Amino acid sequence: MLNIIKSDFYKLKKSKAFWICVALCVIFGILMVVAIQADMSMELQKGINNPMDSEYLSALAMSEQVSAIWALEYFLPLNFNTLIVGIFIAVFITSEFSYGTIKNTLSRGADRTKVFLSKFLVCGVAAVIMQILFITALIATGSVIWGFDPHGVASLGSLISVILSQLLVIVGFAALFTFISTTIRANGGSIMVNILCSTVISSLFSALGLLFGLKIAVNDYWLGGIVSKLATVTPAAGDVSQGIIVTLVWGIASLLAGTMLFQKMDVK
Amino acid sequence: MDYILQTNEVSKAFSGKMAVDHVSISVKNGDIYGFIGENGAGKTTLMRMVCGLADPTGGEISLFGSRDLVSQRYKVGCTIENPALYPAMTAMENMEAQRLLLGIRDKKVCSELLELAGLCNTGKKKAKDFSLGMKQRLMIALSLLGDPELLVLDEPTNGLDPMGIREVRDVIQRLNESRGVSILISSHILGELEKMATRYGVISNGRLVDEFQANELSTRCGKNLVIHTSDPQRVENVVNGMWGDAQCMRTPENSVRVKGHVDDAGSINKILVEAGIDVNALIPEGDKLEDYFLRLMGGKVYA
Repeated sequence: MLNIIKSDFYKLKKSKAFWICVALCVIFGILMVVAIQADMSMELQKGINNPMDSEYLSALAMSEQVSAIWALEYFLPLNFNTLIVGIFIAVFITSEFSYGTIKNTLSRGADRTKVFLSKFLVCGVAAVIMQILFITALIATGSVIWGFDPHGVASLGSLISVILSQLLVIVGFAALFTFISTTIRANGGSIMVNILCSTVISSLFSALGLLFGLKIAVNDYWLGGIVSKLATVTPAAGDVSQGIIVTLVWGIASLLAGTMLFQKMDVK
Repeated sequence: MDYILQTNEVSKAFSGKMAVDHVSISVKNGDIYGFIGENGAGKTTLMRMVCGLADPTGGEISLFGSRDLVSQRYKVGCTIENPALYPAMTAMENMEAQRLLLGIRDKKVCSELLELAGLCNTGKKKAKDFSLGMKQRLMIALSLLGDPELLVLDEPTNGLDPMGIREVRDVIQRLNESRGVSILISSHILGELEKMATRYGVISNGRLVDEFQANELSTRCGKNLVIHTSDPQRVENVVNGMWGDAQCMRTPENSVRVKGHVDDAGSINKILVEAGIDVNALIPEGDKLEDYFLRLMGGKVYA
């Protein structure tokens, strides 16, 4: 198992897709904050001529809230980073099938369960690295522009809790994306399904809930919904434990299903 | 351990259609086993099952006398279909990824194998920029990591120019002769296989239709010995005297064609000369592997 992991980490290190996605996480983390600041400044300018302008008023209200912590709470639920992670995992895993290099691993007697788990482990680490860099870029840029936490809403403990819970959820997503990419094997199909999982499904569940007037919030049992729920320094009682349980269930189910399917899969 | 690979009635069905139908082949230690068949005959499917890339739907495979294939596959190197390489990596990086996978500590082994494959000077050139011949040779180098005792090569000369084909053949023969690596190889270039194979298996529509040693090929191909002489009648008498079952025929050029006995050309020549018969030439003649294969396939032309 250790040899398979070593080899997979070597491939990760040499993967151009990984470094591009890492750079994107940092760049977008910075750009998102800068874009909000630029937009807010522009709207605030309107108030010079018309102090009752609605856009000016909302920008004014926002300017009183913004901080690095606010940026974290605002941007994490957008699942931008999950999208990047989904695309990366699809590219990283399906390339093994499209180049045929998975044959070099399996034909030398590597146990398929270990091969699948190694892929998950490496993708999980890559996802954690991207998430940490995205969060760091948001916090660092937000701190420079607006200050870290000028309104004193967060404690060190609550900030660590947000970061750790987000890292856990991204690992859950990594397990799901690994399962999807290993099962589909085709590059385009895997990217598409991973994008749907990271963006559309949350909205779909919310819409279904509204449409059918469901008493249960379906989105609360989906990884994307958990990201939103836990992206706050003041989570509601029980949200953290529920989030952890839901993430573990999705992650473990994905790993079990992926391992079983990969065992029976013919590799071309 | 006589046989390093044996398949016993191995079958594989895709959606109810038999791609490999109860195939039993045996590869002996030191063999270069030429696996022949038309497109879609089941060669690659059988090789994929041997390499653990597909599960048989029936039958058994044993490697090195063991049915615990997962543990034995460490000793098997394979290239199935197209060269499976990381295109953005160099030859050395491709080797390094596989070396780590196999847990080989000695880093020098990568450069040694690249040298064996004639790729030691590729430097920072990425695999995607390699010629097909270089890719095939890199695949062979990759499959040699871990000192495998059996190499499974699925059409390693596919798409290569004559120079590339020769390079790959040289590498294969060197491995077999100097390292004692047994080889299961499929190829559409039967003339190439004929130059190196020591044993053949012929598969058609998923079924093994023949399996034989290379030295049996002349009998199967109906190879003949043509004796050019000024006295064909006496030649016929002498040859019939040597072997009662010898079948002699007169050619349009009034030479004598002796069916089989290609390997006896020396002794025939000696006896004819001792009998005072002029022998102008003794020429082996007959079908090649390709002709035999086509005849076996019922004259069907394959791609």
